[in-house]
Order: sequence, then C-alpha cells, then structure tokens
Amino acid sequence: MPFDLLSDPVVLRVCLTAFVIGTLAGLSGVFVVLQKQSLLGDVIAHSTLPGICLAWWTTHRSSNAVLTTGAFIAGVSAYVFLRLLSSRLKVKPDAALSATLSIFFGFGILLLSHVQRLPNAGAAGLEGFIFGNLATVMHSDLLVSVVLLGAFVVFVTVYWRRLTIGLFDPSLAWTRFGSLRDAQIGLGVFVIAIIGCGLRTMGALLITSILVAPVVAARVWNRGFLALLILSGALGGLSCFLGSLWSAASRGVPPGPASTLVALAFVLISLGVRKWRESTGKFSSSRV
Amino acid sequence: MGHLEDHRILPQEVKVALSAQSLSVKYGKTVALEDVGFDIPRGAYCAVVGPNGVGKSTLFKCALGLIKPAHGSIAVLGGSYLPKVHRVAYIPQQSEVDWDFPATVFDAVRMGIENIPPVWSSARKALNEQVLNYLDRVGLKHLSQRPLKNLSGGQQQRVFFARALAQRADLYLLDEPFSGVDAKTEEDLICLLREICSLGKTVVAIHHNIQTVPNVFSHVLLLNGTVVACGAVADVWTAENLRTTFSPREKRRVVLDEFEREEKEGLSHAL
Repeated sequence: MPFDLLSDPVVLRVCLTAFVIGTLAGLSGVFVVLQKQSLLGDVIAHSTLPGICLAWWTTHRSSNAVLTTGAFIAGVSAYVFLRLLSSRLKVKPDAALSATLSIFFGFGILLLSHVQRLPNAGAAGLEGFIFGNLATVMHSDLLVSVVLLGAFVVFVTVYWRRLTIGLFDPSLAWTRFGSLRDAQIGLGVFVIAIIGCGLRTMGALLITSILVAPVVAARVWNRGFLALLILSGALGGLSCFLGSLWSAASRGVPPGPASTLVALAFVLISLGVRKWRESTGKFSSSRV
Repeated sequence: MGHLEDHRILPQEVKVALSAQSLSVKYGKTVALEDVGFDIPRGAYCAVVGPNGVGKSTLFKCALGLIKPAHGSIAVLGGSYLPKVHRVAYIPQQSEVDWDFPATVFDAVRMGIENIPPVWSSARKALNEQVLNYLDRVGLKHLSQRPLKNLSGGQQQRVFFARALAQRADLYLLDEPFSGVDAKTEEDLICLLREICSLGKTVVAIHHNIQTVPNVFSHVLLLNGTVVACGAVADVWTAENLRTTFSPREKRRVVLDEFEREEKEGLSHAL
C-alpha cells in the first residue's frame, strides 16, 4: 500500500510540503480564476525558466535558495512586463499574456539548451524545476511554505472585503475603499511567491494546473465565497499530497504530472456530479 | 438604527447635490466632455439624457473620482468627492459586474453596508435583520439565499437597489437602471426612487427611454458632449432642446464609445 510509505519521515515531509503548497495554490487560484486571469499563473510559471537558468549560469550552484531567487526575480519581471504591456501600451489582455509567456519562455529554453551544453554541466538538476523533483525537498521548504501559508491567510483576512467586493463589482470597491492597488499588487506578489515556492516540488510546467483545477472543481459544489475558498484550498492540498505519494511510490513518475492528474480527477468527478444534478433538474447551470 | 443615522445627516446648507463648472474630460486627444456646467438641486429626481457616446458614463466616473478632469471641477454634495465617499451610491451597468461571482443575494446586499460587526458580536444579528429589511423593500426577501448567477435581469437590478439602500447614501448615481428590466420591476424601482427623493436624497440616472422622462423624473440634464440644458422637466423638456441634443455632432463622439470600452477593460484586467 502506498500509504505505508508515510511512515518514512522523508516521504511524510515531502508529502506534507506538497500538501501545504497545493493548499496555497488552491487558495490563491480562487482569486486568479475569478479575476478571469487563469492564464496569469501559467505565464508567470513559464517565465521563471530564464531566471532559473541565469541563476545557475552565474553562480554554478543548484541550491534551492539560489535557483528559487532567480525564479522569483524572473517571475516579478514577467509580471511587471505584463502590466506595462496592458496598462501603458494598451495591448489587449490575451495578447499581452501570450506575448509575455512566449518571450520569457523562449528566452528560457535558449538559456537552458546553452547551459546544458556547457562542459562539466551539473545543469541536469535544472530539469527538476520543470517537472518537479521530490528528492531535493528539505525541511526548509516545508518551513517556508508553512510561513507563506500563514502570511497569505493573514493577507486575505485583512483585505477580505476589498478582495471580495473588488471581484464582484470593482466600482463599489472603488467607492468604498478608493484604489485597490495595494490589494492587487499584494495578490500578485503572493501568486509569484507561491509559484516560486512550488516550483521545486511541482515543477514550472504544472504548478499552474494546481492553481486552476481545484477552483474549477470547487465551484461546482457551493454558493458562498468563503466555502469556495476553503474547498478549493483543501482540494489543491489533497491533489498535491496524493500526487506526491504516487510519485514517491512509483519511482519515475514526476510529482507535477501526478498531482495534476489527481486534480483533474477531482474536476471530472465534480463536473460529472453537476451534469447529473442538472439532468435531475435540481440546480440551474452556470459556467465554471 | 436611529443613533447610527444621526452623524450622517447631511447639513441643511447643502442645497446642490451634483454640480460641475467648466468641466472638460479627455481620453488622449479625444474630447469626451467639453465645458460642462450644471447644478442638480438636492432632492431632485434627475434624468441624464443624450445620444450614445456623449460622455454620460464619463460624467459619473468623473463625479466618483475614477477619471481626472482635464479642466474645471465637479462637486458632489457641495464638495470634492473623496470625503463624501460614504454618501454616494453608484449603480453600474449590469454588464460591469461579475454575476458568476459565488455569492448569495444576501451576501451581495451586505456588501453595501459600511461597517460589518464581527461574527461573534450581538450586533451581527441586527445587521442580518437590516439586510433582510432592504431585501424586503425591493421584494426579494424570499430569494435571499439564491446564488447571484441564478437571477433574472430584473432581479439583478433589484439586488443592486437593495445594496444601494444598504449604503444609506445621500446621492444615488445610476447608470441605465432600467435597461434589460421587466415592466413590473421598472415600475417598482421608479416608486422606490421617488420615495428616496422625498427623504431629501438625490437621484441622478442615465436614462435612454425618452418617452418616459416627463412622467418619471422631476429634473433633466440634456447632454451632447456639452450641456444642452439642465433644469426642471417643465422648463427644459422642449422639442427644440431634444432636437439639439440628438442632432449629430462631429465624428469624434462615435469614437468615444470605443475609448470608454477600452478604459473599462483596462480596469477589470488591472491585475
């Protein structure tokens, strides 16, 4: 039984870290998805690649701290670039997202292929950042993600009314609170930090699916915003927990794809239930 | 509720609810409003009438401080907008709001209330009663637990009105409150607004159905890039004024719609 593996403290630590990161992704994903910015996470996650490669290239060290810092800096640059494109240059949102993604990711691939061809390349470890790698998860990763979770919960509690009213009706938020800039920038920074924190475990390619899939699944089940937030966080955490366990049990299946498949199963079950409820005529439908 | 109301009573000296002096607004090089000047008296039930793209919504956004004027000024309840934030209720066009947002009718109305006591305090119960009261006034009490996404257009507008009541404002700015609304709802909401005005509060509504203006409103502001006329319906609702209002002006007015839409998208995609 794969659950027996949990008696191994290393596996337990890895799965708990994945659980906390998944919870963070599920929680912040609610804001991202309701803001109709589902692609934002995708763009930021892909855009971290050049940062990771540059960090390795300049320092020749593949420690977590160095690479995550590189990823974070690249994520922030991509986010700033995106905002400049849409606010200053008036590029349409979808075009701005896709331009940012292709520029940063393209540059990242270029750097990656160069770095991997360098002599005595210890650059092989970089692949862990793309698909996720559980072997390198350490105590500090668990600690950092728990601290981040606490900070995010505090942030959401403090800005609760601004965030919820702003999502439903920006003009009411403006008349009530004035500018929403603080809350939005705060949210952006958290999303980048959460992605940066999850890169090592879930991988750059698939951390974003954990940002979106739990929200889609959770929206089927409830009517209130708080309930949505809690359920989405729980589903995100559970997906990553089970995905990591699967990865640990199977040797060779990377944790990112495994967690994504678990999250996808939740989505399919939820949508199936909604379809069934619709056909029995209990609830009217809505887009997810 | 009485003791809460006290410090909020608008001083009697405030006679003008919304006024503008030589107000001009530009989007880039396009002029949206040019040399606009008017006074809407307190207690007025005022319609803002004009063709599409003459800056009616722009005028509201300017009053709310969302857009900075290029010249001139706009005064809300006798002063600048910001200190008066809590005295103004703005109802946007229905399309500007995310109706898929996961909340019930009750939650949406509660958003209008300024200070929400913590869950554990006894004041919370009184607040819930209050919200149900507002819902009762717009005839939606029986739907208080319904998700927003399952409402009809008329019901959505009723939710907006209940929320505006919860804001207990002195000035109500409504952007096309009766578009996409059934006849019964329109009638109910018109009565509700009349009641609000009789309490010394002011309603300013962008309105498109010019047939109903004389029967519904007490005042009217005719806008066509600049002010054509502003005053009591009896004085300014003339065929001559209407013709001037709806006569075509320069091409730039048409372009304006496009600009406003882009501004709006910019706002909602600010993240």
